[in-house]
Amino acid sequence: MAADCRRAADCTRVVEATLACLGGVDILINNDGAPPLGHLISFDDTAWARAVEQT
Amino acid sequence: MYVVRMARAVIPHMIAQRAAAPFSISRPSSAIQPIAGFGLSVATWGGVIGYSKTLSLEVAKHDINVNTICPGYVETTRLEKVFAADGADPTLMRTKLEAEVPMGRIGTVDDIAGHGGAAGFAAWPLHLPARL
Repeated sequence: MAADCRRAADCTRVVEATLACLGGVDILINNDGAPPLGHLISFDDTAWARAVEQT
Repeated sequence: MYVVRMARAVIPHMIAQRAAAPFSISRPSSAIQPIAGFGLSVATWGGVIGYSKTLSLEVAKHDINVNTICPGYVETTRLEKVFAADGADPTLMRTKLEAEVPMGRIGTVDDIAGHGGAAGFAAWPLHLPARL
């Protein structure tokens, strides 16, 4: 199923669908993309907030 | 933040099931091998390492394993951007990074697939049938 890990509702949907289909969770692997590259002083609050959401 | 959300949503069910194994996978630049230009990854995934270690202490009594895997440099388009960052000579940058690796080469995605698979197997509760 497609989901955006930066959205809390999508995280909930993935877990609920898994429980409904499989009856439980035996293993959880967290592996996502990565925030943009660039020098630290170039990132504003929005960029930091997005990076935290993605992590 | 999704690592926190997923763990929070899943762990109560794992506790109820008894003996399961969550694990987080991190990336090369995460805290232990910072690379200039990867600051957002370094800072945020450094936090994930601390989160995972703390979580492992708190849920171990339920026989839940929490592991974090931190691969080294991996041959990806993202790393290619590092090779060419700030006008650097990509060949020289590659040589410099390879010299930091004991095996003398940049890792491949197949290397990571192998390690991830091994880690998943290692984390798997022995009394459960493998169904990955």
